[in-house]
Amino acid sequence: MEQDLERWKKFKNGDAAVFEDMIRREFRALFEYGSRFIHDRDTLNDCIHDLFASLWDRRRFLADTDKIRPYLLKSLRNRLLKEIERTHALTPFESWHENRDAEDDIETRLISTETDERRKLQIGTVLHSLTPRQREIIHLKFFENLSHEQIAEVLDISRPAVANLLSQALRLFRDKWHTILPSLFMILFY
Amino acid sequence: MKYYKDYDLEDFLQDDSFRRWVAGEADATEGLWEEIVRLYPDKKVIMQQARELVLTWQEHSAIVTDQQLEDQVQRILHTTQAHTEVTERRFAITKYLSVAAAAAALVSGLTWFYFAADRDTTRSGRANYPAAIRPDSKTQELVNNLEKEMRLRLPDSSEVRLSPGARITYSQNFVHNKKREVFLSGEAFFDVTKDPQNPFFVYANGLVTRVLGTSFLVKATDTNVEVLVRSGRVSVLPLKDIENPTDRNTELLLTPNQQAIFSVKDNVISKSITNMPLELIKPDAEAGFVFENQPVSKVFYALEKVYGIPIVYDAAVMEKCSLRVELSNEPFFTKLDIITQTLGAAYRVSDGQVVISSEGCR
Repeated sequence: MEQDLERWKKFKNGDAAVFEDMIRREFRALFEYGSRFIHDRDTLNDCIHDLFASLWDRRRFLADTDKIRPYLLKSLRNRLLKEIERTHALTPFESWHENRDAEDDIETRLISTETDERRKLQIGTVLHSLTPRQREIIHLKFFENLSHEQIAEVLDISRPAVANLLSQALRLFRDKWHTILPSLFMILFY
Repeated sequence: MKYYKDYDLEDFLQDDSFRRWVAGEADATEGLWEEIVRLYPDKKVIMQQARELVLTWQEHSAIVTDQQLEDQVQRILHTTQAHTEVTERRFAITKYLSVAAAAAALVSGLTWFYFAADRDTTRSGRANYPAAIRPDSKTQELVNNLEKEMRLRLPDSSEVRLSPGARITYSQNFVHNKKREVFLSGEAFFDVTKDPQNPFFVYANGLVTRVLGTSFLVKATDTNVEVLVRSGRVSVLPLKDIENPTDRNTELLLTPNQQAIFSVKDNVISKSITNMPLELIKPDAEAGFVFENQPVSKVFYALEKVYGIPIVYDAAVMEKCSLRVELSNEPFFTKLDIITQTLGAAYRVSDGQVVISSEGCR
């Protein structure tokens, strides 16, 4: 985290090499996180582009941070929510294509990446039953391995709320899981 | 260690050290989880489940290839570098402008076609554009002095249909800073070749229209700029906000059959629907727009789908409304008239959507 602070300060001083390095390090994580909100890759790329461009423009006025990843995730999140709100009127239109495709996509991907197709499909079904909010929080925990404090910061909610949401999501997971999967795992293990 | 005995699925999942172990990261607690498996054999299945879940989640990733990453990094760097250079370049260009000379040539019939240094910037309305988005000094300008529409192909093979009296200007070096830019006064229909890496910008009297690849009409007069979308998606924003990427609240997204009207005086964009919306997709071949006692929700859904225009209504109030109606080639608004009159409802257009008001049916 010390390193983060140091890099951040260099970036704020206009160090283009550090800035470039930061984009390379963070882009995939941002894209990954953003794709849970927006399924249109062009729009998502635009948002991340705008995020970095605006950071560079305002670098002199930015506060210090020693947690670059959560800071960027939060900024991107705010941007995406704005974007979604702004285009909200269009949701019925877009939902025909993008949302449905994306849902299928998750499943297809889950199926295609593993040999055990049936099990993947089951896991997909469980993931499906989560609300977007729950998926988001699980992403931050499982994928980004953020602490409760960092998640609270990104989502702009209190730490107890994070714990609460997370355990809700995981309990849901457990319940669905137990009803679907035991037989499969028995086979795997014995 | 004894509390692990009571660990359930979610406890494992929430345990940072457990997830690090799953991810194969070396850790101070190395050996701990193997130890737990040994001590509590009944936890083995749950642990395996938790492991699968974490791995599945991490695997489900939106794949960004190295090439895509590189493209995006370069795109961002281009933008930020351009921003850094703005101040120095603006000075250089101002100086250049004052010595620029006009070089005009009469090419064919009544049409002016010339390469020129930045001539006559006030007439084509470019004088107010910030240096960063002004095209290079080498520009091509085309004015349609004919009495009929003129077709031209831009260097990126996009097609422009220029209405009589309209003027279009673009840089000879067409793709610049990952942007394709044209300046327009008057009316023109654009059919833009898709190139997501290099978005296409139309600047017209204070309004910026940004697209990736689509077709649309821009009509710029002294007081208004209208943008009508035929296909794809288009975003518009006032020029004054383009250099302010943090606050893009004024940017509007348009989908087919929607139109934006920009008031030059007030710098405000409003969204509406084109006068004569076109069918974006063909209606269902068999059923078409023939509805035999169907709930209105079905009718509205079919309309939305074919014209791409959102229809907003109170589904609870209109729950009991059903309809027997045969529609075919009538224009969109005639169809709406017929439907709403049959139901005793009314509609208005607001913000690019159709809003139905009804007191419900019995």
